[in-house]
Amino acid sequence: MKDREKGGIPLEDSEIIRLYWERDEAAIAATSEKYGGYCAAIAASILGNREDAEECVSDTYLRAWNAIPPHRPAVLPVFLGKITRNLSFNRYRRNRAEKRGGGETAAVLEELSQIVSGGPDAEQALQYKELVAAIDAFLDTLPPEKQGIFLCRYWYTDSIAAIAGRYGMGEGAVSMALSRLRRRLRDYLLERGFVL
Amino acid sequence: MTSERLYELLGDLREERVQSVRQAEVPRRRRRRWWAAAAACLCAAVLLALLAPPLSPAGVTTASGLLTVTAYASTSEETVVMEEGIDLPADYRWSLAMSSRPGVPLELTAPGHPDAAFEIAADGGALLLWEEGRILPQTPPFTAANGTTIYWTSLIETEEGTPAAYSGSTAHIQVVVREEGHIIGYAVIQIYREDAEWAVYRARLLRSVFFPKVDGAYQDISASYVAGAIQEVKAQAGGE
Repeated sequence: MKDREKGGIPLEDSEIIRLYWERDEAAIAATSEKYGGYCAAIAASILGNREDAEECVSDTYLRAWNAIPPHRPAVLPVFLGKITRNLSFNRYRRNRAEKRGGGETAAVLEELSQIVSGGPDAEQALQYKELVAAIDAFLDTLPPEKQGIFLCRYWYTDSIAAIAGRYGMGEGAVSMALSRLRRRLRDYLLERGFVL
Repeated sequence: MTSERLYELLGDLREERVQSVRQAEVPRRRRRRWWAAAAACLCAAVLLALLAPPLSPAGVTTASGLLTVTAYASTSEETVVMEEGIDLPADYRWSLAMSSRPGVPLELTAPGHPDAAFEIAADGGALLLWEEGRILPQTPPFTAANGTTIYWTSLIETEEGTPAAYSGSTAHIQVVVREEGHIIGYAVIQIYREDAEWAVYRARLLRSVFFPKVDGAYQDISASYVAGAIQEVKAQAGGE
């Protein structure tokens, strides 16, 4: 492993990405060292099962290895986190079919069902992009703390208790804030013509 | 659209925004109503006056904030200086299985006292140093220099020399600060288990006390006095 771990300090993201581009397997170790905990926390929240979470994190490194190059992540932790999130959610669906595990995902999906109709997905890929852009625009209208609470719950799949701890709020206050955000997001999207 | 599809789509939100959530240092708030806070303070003051023996004997001058304890987030380079009685954000959790660091990292510094040294011990778990990628187990009490980062881990060694998991739900790290042979302060940090199944731990600074010089001279603070004070802090905090 070249020029890494000076005094236990993790490599810069640009250095880790360079290792991937050079096809240096030290990239995996550096990723694990720096972002293993981050990815594991995401997987654990979604799955609520340590073995499955560890597998998803290992698979994340493999996916990253296969994707870089040609991809050059702009924000390495989120790039990795997205892979972990997708893998973990796929595993969650498989586990649910087998009636195993759970984590926070069931509760998060239940909450999100208050925004959408639950009908079949008829939208096209382009419209999905527009929908994501609209949700981003909606989040732009919120103060940073509200954005954070929303993303902690619906991107990181954090528990209400964890969000309450992070923001120094009561759990009831977090639930109330999320409920209002869901309602506002739904109104925002409907006003802009999205079929939910 | 289904909630599952929406959940998937939310994964494509702007990356910088998603990252900022984990990077942001979140100010903790207290949202209790003023009268509830006042009532709580009054009750606490009355109880302390009635039940607790004084932490300082007559004639000892104390102040807060000599020892600064800096905690490190588990998923970013974010750090935060711990404040007495305030829990760290969730991102500062540590678990043996999930974290890339060998233990809960705590950087100990005594600003303005470059020659201060720390005597460090823990009543549960184990203490480590991590230098140049090497994990160095420490036998408490051990002495560390100003600016040292220590690590608390739940991985302990049994009397037979085999590794085992610490079974307690709390542990306390005590730090006695000395300068030129004199005790000039102490601190007590509580490590508490947040999630038994995943063995996730967080740290909380219970107390950091400074014995400043009086009329230019060190105060005569004995080790036994500090040991008693630390025991009282731990007893007041509860836990094991």
